[in-house]
Formats: sequence, structure tokens, C-alpha cells
Amino acid sequence: MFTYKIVLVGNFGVGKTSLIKRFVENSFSEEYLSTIGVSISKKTIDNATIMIWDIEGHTEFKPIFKQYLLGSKGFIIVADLLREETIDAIKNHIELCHNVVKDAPICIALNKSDMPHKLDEHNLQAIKSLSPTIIEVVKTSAKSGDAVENIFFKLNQKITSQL
Amino acid sequence: MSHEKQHINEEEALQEAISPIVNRLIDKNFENSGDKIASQMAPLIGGAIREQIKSQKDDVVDALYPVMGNMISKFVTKSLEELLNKINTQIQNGLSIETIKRKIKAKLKGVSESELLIQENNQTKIKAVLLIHKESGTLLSQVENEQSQLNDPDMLASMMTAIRSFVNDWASNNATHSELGEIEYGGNKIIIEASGYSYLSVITEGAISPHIYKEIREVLEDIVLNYADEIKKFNGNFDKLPKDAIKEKLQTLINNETQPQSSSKKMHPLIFIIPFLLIGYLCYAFYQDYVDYRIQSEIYKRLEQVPALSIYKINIDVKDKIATIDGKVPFKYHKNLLQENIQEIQEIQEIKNNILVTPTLTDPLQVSSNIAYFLAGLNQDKHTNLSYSFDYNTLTLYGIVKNTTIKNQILQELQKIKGIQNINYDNVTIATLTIDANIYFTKGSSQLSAQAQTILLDIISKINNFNSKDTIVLNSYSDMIGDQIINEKLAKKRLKDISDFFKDMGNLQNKIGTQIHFSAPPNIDLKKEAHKARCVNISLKNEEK
Repeated sequence: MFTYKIVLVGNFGVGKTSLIKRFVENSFSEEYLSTIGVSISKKTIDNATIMIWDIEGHTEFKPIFKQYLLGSKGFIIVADLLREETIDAIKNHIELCHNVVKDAPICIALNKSDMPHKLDEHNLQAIKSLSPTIIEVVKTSAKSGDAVENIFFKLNQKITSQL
Repeated sequence: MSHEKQHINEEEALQEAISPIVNRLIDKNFENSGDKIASQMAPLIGGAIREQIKSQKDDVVDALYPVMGNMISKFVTKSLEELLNKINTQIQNGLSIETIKRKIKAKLKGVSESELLIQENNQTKIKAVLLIHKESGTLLSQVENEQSQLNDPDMLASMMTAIRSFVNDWASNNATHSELGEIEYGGNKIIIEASGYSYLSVITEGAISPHIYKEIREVLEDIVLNYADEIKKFNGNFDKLPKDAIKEKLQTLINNETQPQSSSKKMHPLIFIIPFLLIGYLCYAFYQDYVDYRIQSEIYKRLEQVPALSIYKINIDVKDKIATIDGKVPFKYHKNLLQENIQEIQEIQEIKNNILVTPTLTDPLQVSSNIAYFLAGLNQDKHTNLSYSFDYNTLTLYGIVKNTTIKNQILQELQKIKGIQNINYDNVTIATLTIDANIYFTKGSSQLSAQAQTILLDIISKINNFNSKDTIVLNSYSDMIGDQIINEKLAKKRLKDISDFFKDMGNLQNKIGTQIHFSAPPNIDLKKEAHKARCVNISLKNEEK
């Protein structure tokens, strides 16, 4: 039996909550409700219970609250394919995560893949090369559910193999 | 101007024409899509109420009053009901050590018992204890009270951690380093006690006493002391964590809370009465003992005051107001006297009079003197002369008694003297009556003189007295004067008269033997004492001899 914590990190509005909602409840809502503070969900895969921390998105005025990252076994850094600044912020997020939990495995979800976007394979490789701890860089869509489960499974696999 | 007026008229006409249609449309819309309208209206209601309160507070109060009043009273009633039920159960539980303790406590503190009861009902109930990994918020272990199961403790642990992180961070930015210690909601409280890598969240209900904090700290210390390393290295894998051991330690918190109560409930309340019964019984026993002792003393005191009883050894034993009397007295009189004296004491419920009446005249000296006294009486009779010897219980008599009748009478009387068992009579003889009397006659006469009659009567009396069966022997003597034939006739006549006298006057049954002598009695000189020769000699003759 395992129980561990992962945190979704990313700028505001990139779809962290939507990804979790898709993964945990397999549902999606067009409405945007900003997460205040933290919201926690639970999902059991095989013999592991994952506590998924959905934290307030990073904004210009409000940095991510470091305390919430403590004790996390892995991170999913989420960016919006349609908003370049969110992709640029990935690097900072990786640093932040590693500051708190050294060498924690990271998956990067480039969300909203159901919408037309310009990012190609080359760009993905560039992102992956940001850190050796990055397991996977995947384009996801919380709306269609595309690759959502995959990204959680991959991270789970990596974490459980380390425990 | 006329253009404007016309426009107004058209507008009014249009309103008149459309308004029924619009009203119908609105009605229809409400019917068909009520839910949609409700959801559209919902966000507005909050604002509307706020606005209304701002401007027309009293209106709102009036409008809500009936509802709020009922709501509050319902809530209060419900809460009071619960409290009452709790108190009732406590009272129904009746006599327990808790109740007695509470009663004493109430007296000592000078507060009412109900107040203490309410306080007791407010006592801490630990609903759940969670041991949480400090950083990740992972629930390491948890125990719950059976009556209050937690819903999704994993989530609670994570949320608690998030809240804790937030507050601690905020607090450390604003003041000196301090930590979140408690979260309160409703009547519940979450106590947070943190150590290096983990913290305890204890969900409690009711007032919290300082000893609860102490207990929580102790349990956490215990866990940290034993499993700090395992917790520190915990990475999510529960196989590497001594879950059972930790759970056991947490369980003590809940057990401490519930065990004393349950154990006291299991004990029958009557058990607590036993010491009181014992003390009560002892007091009663001591009191009874005292009462018995007092009665006993009283009896002894009374007996001492009665001279007839004071000389006897009498044992008195009083138990449960029942007096048992043992001892020996010589006569029933003493026994009754004793009974009468004791009966006068009212406290005595029953008298067991086991007094034995034993005659004490078995003292041989006493018996002997009694016999002597009796015989002295008998010896007053000149024909009786008895003496005796007494060898403790055998009486031997010596001497003479007048006759068998008297002998038997004496025997009967002697047997009445207590202490004599055997009477030896062999040495007692019956006295023999000897009569030697002369009846003198005048010359030529056979007539019994007055003197002669007196003598005869005396003889009759003697014979009767002795009850003698001897033969009366009559010897007639003559003075030898005159004719012998005449003298013989005269002698016969004299003998007959005397015999007749005996038979007639004495009614004697004795045989009478007669003999006529033509001579003077022996030793009588006819020449000198002729008058003494004219006589009849009377004597007794025992035929058996």
C-alpha cells in the first residue's frame, strides 16, 4: 500500500483543476472557477492512493505558496498551449519544485490541445531538456480527456518504482 | 406638440394591446422553465436581501421573525433535549461510584449536583485521532471512536495539513514563530500537536480538560521516541511503517477516554452499597451488643437487690434482647421469683428460663437432724422409744413402737424426708402391753365399784390404744369366807360382769379366758388382808408366744 502526494503547479487558468477533475471524476466544465488556496482530491490507482493537491495558480502578484509543495513525491507542471508566457514559466516552476523537493519527478502537461496551437515536437524536446527529472512532456486536453490519464499514470509509475 | 401627443397616445394603445399577451407569456415562461428562472434568480437573492436589510432592516426582521423564532426555539429545544437525555441516563444509571463522588464533590464545592452533571456531560469525548505526516499530509495512522466514524480521513489529513501550512506560514510572517494549535467548529475541537516530522490531530467534542492535552502530548512523545526514524523516512510506502504498533499507541487515547466509564457501568451499582452495608451492619451489631450488655447488667443489678436470689449462682446471657438464664435454685419459688424480676425489664423480648430446681437438703447432717427432730416428736409418746443411725442415705431405726399401725405411719412419714433412700426397720420391735390389775369386791357382792369401773375403762383404753389382740385373762380369787358353792357362784358372777363390761363398754374383740381359784391371791394373807382376797386379777396373755 502506498499513499503519496503530488502537486499540480502552473500559472492561473492553465487548467490544473480541469485536469484533476477529468482524471478523478472524468468530467469537464467550460466554466472557469479560480482555485483559492488549495483543493485536494484523492484517486486510487492499483495499490496507490494519490492525494492530488490543486493549488492556486501563479500570477504576477501572487507567487506560488511554497508550503503546499512540501512532501510531494512528484509534480505535474501545467501550461496553456495557447498562452506562451505560461510555457515560459515552466522553467521557473521546475526550479521552484526542486527547491522544495529535490529531484522529484516531474511531468509536464501542455493543456488545451483540443484548440489550434503552434507548438511542435521540437518545442516539446526543448522543454524536456530543461531538467533530467522530467519524465514526460505531453500535450493534454482536459476537455477531450486526451492523454490526461496517461500523464498521471506515468508519474505514478515513476513514483511507485522509487518507493 | 400634436405630434408628441399622438406618439403618447400610440404608446398607450400599444401597451394596452400587448400587456395581456406579455403577461400570458411571462406566466407560461414561469410554468415551463421554473428551474431555469430559479437558477437565474438565485445569485440575485443574496444581494437583494442584503440591500433590503440595509434600507429596511425592521421589515426584514418582522418578515423573518416567525421563521427564525421557530428555528431558534427548535434548535434550542433539540439541544436541551439531548442534554436532558444525557442527564437522565446518568441519573438512571443510579447509584454508582461516580454518583457518590459527584455528591461529595457537590457538597465540598458548594455547587448543585445538576451543575456538576452538566459539567460532566460537557466532558471531552475524543472522536478520532489522526497521525499525519507533517510535510506531505499523508495520513500515517488513525483511530476513531466507534460512535463517530470519520468520513474520508485521508482528505481530512491533507486538508488539515494545508490549513496548518497556511496558518503557520502566515503566523510566522506576522508574529514570532507560532503554530496552529486548535481548530474549533460547533461543539468540536481539533487539537493539533506537532513534532518534527509528524503531528497529531485529535478531534474532540465538549470541554477539554488540561489532562487531555497532557495525554495527547504523551502519546505523541511516545510515538516519536519509538518511531521517529520510520516516520522521518516515510515516503508513502506503508509496508515500511509499523502501522499496528502506532495504532495501538493512538488507541490508548480513545481507550483512556472510554474505558473508565465502561468499566464503571459494567459494575453493578449494588456493589458500591456493600461497604456501606458492612459498616451499617457493624454499627448495628455494636449497638445490639451494647444494648444486650446493658440488659445483662440491669438483670444482675436487680438480682442483687433480691436477697432470696442473690445467694445463688445464676448465669445470664443476653443476645438479641433474648435473655437466657441458667443456674440452680432449691425451689420453684426461686425460679418464679427470678422470672418475675426479669420480666419487669421492658427491653427484653424473650426470657429463656433454664433454671433447674434442685433440692439442696441432701446434706447428711441436715437430713440427720431432720430425722432426729421427727423422732424426738414421736418419742414424746411413752410407748414409743426410737433411736436411729444415718449413714448418708440409709436410715437404721432402733427401739420400740406401740403397734404395727404406728410403725407403718412412722415409715410413711420418714420417707417424706428428702435424702433418705433406704430405711432399715429390722431393729424396731412392737411394744407389748402388760396389764396386772385387781378389781376388788365387797363381801358377798359382785357389784363393780366406781373405782373398779375406772380401772376397767383404763384397761379398755390401753388395749385399744395398743391395738392389742392378746387374750384377756381373768383370775378370780376368794376370801375363803362362807360357803364354797356360794363363793363359786359369786366368782362366776364377778367374772361375767367384768367380761360383759369389756364387751359392752370397750367393745373389745379379745378372747377372754377365766379361771376361778378357791383361794386367796398369792402373797395375800387372808387373816390380815381379807378384803384384798375378794378380787379378780386381770392380765394379758399372748397366745402366739
